[in-house]
Amino acid sequence: MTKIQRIKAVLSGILMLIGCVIMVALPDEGYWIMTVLLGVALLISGIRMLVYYFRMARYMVGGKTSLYMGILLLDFGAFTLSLLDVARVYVVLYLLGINAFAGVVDVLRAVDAKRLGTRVWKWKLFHGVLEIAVALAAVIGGFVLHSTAVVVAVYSIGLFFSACSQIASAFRRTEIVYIS
Amino acid sequence: MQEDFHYYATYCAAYMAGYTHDESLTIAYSAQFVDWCSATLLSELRAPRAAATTQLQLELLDIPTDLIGLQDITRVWSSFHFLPGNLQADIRYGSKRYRQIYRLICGPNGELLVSTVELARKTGSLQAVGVAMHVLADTWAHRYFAGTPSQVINNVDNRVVEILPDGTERPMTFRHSASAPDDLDQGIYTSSLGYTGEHSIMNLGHGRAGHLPDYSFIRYRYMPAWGGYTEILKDNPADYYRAFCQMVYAMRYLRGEREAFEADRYDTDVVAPWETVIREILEKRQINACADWKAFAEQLSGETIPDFAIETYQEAYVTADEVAKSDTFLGRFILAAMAQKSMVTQAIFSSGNWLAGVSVDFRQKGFRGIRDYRALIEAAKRRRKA
Repeated sequence: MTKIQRIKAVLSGILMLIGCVIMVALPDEGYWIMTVLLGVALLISGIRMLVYYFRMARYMVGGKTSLYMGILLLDFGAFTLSLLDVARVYVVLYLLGINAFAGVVDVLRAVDAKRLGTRVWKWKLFHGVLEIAVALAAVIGGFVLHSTAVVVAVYSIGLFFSACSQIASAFRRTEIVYIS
Repeated sequence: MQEDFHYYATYCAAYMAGYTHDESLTIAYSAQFVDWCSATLLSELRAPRAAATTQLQLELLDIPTDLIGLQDITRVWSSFHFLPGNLQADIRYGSKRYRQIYRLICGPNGELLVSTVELARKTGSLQAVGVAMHVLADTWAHRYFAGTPSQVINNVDNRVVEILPDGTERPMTFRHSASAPDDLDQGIYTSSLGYTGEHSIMNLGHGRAGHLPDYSFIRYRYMPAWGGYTEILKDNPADYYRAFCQMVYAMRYLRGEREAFEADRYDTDVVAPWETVIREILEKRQINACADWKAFAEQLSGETIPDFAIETYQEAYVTADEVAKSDTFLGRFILAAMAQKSMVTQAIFSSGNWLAGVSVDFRQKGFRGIRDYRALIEAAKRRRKA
């Protein structure tokens, strides 16, 4: 990680913590703000990825991955923003779905990392499993207790954990394989 | 390439080209020192940081890959390790940025190689010869990769196939464990992580292909990111042998035995008596060929070749007064390195490519930029007076 990347990691961790506080303090408006932030972030990422594809990656072997990722991110962003008028419980469920999906991706990346011999796979696996567990706990808790507030609270706990791990990762020593 | 070729093989080539044992050692040391002369080391020696010929992992980790950082990286790696093969490459697709990176792909026998060798002759020191020989040798080993971080150029498809000595083919496996050595028997090799970021330092040079370009024995097929799904067959033993013969040819020119240095010329006749033994060393399956090259070098000259030690000439440089510094071993190396970096940066910039930074012609516009480079102007003045 370069110094700039570490600063970025700390800043994104702090933003997540702020999001977590907002969700807990303002359960009615908090989820709406989070949805807007998430939707806009996904839209920007998607557009950036598509620009990269059309300017550079389309000429690269395997460059279509950038196209698919760009479309997917853009699609997710548009879909997220379209949920603003939907009942709160569905929006929170959607956020949890994204959390669970990110968890599955982390688990798959951990399996891949283990296959490739890197040391970070245990951390990735732990993170992925925890994200899935948080999503499941929130859904089950919400259905059992019939309370959207419980779902929001559990989601906030997951967000808090992600924020802490993001900040911690900025201070981790990085092992890289660099060959010149 | 590694110490085995840059130090011991370069010594052998210099000796075959007609240099004495001591001269050959100076050339070989300078060629190998290119892989060690980082900004961190230069800071410790209170030498100009602009003369850095390599970047340490730790330095790269701290360089932001914004425009300035990228130019810094490109100046070092394109000037000394990935000399562009054709800055005017005819490429009609891709954005301007894509074409700029594409034109930095390293290759042998380019115009810049001729300029590099001619510059070494003009600079006139044995250290400059060593620097030029490092650059020349790397144009063969590092061909098809660019000395700038770029996913779209330097990425490599995972399906790489090794062609074993008996002609059979075996898929290679890549892992990203920094501590595990390459396993030649099992065909397991270490490479840098596949980051999707265009400018990640993981995508600098041949990192994505691991150490494959550094091994003289290996033959393999792979698909580079830039080739439009065309596979490349890399025959390292053949390339390394050509590199060796071209070094001999270049050094005979640098000794004044030839009028001009031409690209794509090799002194195979001079090397012919030792061809069998050289090819045996090049084809031997081993991670490090230092012992074999050293034995050959000692047999060739009948002299003892000391192992390369980074600190050998440091004290003489540190203790010399400011005026005398440029006449020390390291002082001459530093001048040669800055001259090479300056020449390559100027060539890249004047080709309409700003990836290595901005270059100003001193003769037209006077001195601009980093103070370190004033040493080059002073050296040119001294040469003219002499």
